[in-house]
Amino acid sequence: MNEFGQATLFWRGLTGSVEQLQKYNKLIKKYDAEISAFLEINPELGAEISKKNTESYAASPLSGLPFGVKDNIAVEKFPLTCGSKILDSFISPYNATAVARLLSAGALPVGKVNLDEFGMGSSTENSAYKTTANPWDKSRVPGGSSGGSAAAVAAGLVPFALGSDTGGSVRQPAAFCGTYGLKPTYGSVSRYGLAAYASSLECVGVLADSVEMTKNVFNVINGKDPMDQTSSNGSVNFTDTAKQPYTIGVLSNTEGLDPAVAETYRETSEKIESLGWKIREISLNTQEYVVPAYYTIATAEASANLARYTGIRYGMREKDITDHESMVRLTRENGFGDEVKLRILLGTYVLRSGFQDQYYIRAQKIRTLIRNEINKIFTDVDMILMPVFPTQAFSFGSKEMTPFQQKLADKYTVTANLTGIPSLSFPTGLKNNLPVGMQLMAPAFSENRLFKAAEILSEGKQIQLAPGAMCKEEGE
Amino acid sequence: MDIEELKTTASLAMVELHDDEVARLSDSVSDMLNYFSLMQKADITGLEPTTHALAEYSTVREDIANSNPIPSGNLVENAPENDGNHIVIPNVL
Repeated sequence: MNEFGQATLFWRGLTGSVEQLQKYNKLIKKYDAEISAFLEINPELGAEISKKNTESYAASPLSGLPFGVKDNIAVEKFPLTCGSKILDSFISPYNATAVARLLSAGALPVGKVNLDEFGMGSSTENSAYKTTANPWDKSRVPGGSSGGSAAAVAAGLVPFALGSDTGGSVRQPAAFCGTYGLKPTYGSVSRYGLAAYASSLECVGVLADSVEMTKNVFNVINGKDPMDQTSSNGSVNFTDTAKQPYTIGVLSNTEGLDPAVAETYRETSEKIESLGWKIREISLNTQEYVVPAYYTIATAEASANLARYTGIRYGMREKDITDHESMVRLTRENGFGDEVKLRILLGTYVLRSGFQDQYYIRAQKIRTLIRNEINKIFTDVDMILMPVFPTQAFSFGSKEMTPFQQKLADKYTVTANLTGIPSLSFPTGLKNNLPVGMQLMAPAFSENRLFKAAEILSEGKQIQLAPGAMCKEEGE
Repeated sequence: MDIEELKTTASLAMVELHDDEVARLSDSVSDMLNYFSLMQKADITGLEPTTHALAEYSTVREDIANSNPIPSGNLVENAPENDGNHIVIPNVL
């Protein structure tokens, strides 16, 4: 039996009976006490809502496998806080489509994992509830905004977790924690049940401990959904026309990368060459505009999407206020954290009459410019190799990177969101005892090309888990 | 952005900012807006705006009413204050 098969047996051994689930609950609580990846742990409830799969395990590779869910994705009967005080005590009455599909495949959600409030941040420090530590070095952040998802996988608490990626929020924490992180093609996975932040950019994504797991999960969750009109008709290319040796675009200018990341980028490029694949140097002329265009569009969409949090229909409400408008204003004032307010204010400003042409419309036209450039590059190359983030996991408390610098550092991830293309962040080993991740981007609906390339690069191996990982300590 | 502009924007966004927040957020908002001004350099002559990354894949369904599978009671229960099947709010008028 291979490594993947052994791991699968281990996970199924934690979820097969009530006694096993109770034991698993205790184990997650014990190991999670070190990193605080979870906001809610309840494998027993997960098993209750999961569909018992009568097919053989061979026919359903995810059957009996536990998973974590970022707390901006709905799971029936579980809380859905989005990491925000404004949704404190909200219990989801329904499942996100991605979750429902995993339940039908026999997988079971064991809990909700931490995030930056509404997915806004790069360190998971913007959660209203707790900070999550990087399992590799507990003085460092796990990345964000899907920091809880990445930390839970790297610490061996679950074999995979759902996250969401609006500007890099799956790939950057995956890189910081040494896991795989897939941002699928926009529309290939339904957004129904994902609490909206920036609707034209965000995707439900996968963080997992191997390429095979990432692929298996994606194959279950992708496809058209009548509940999301932007979901696609399942046009994922299962018969990819690109054949090995692949041609990989590599950036000619990577100024500003930390030495460990720059060195890894060079080494990964050399490894690709050693496989006999072709390297083609590319330059992205639009790169200096990607971050400002991204934040203009994301904040504009956020200001509209978050207008629904008024204290009327759900979540918290400021008490003892007799007039309606004051109640809404004060609920939003006390319910949202600083980063969310900053983005709502920016979004409201760029949409104000008189400023739209200067900011929002211009950003959307720049988005066209970026799309045109990326489409042109894909006429010459099969995939683009990029760093994920200019640094490795940084320390808590903005000591090394201020929130503003963290935003500028999204320059390698937001391109995939602005253009809708899929991107897979993959671990490349350790530098300074911390993981470094790289990403491959491919044309829309070419997820299978990314999986194929990553399988070859990883030689079929699972990720290196963080020291003291639960599944290793408990006998996987 | 000056303080008055920020307060006007906050009012439009239905957020009641405390004074200490106004001071704290105005610098962050200004940093971002200054950064956004980088976009003025880009040559966007003749380009149409992109509203969705892969707009060609967006579709609209037939205009047929579907039943909601979620019982309305479950939705109302999540309201901070409810009365039977109604959500209670302070007087609007």
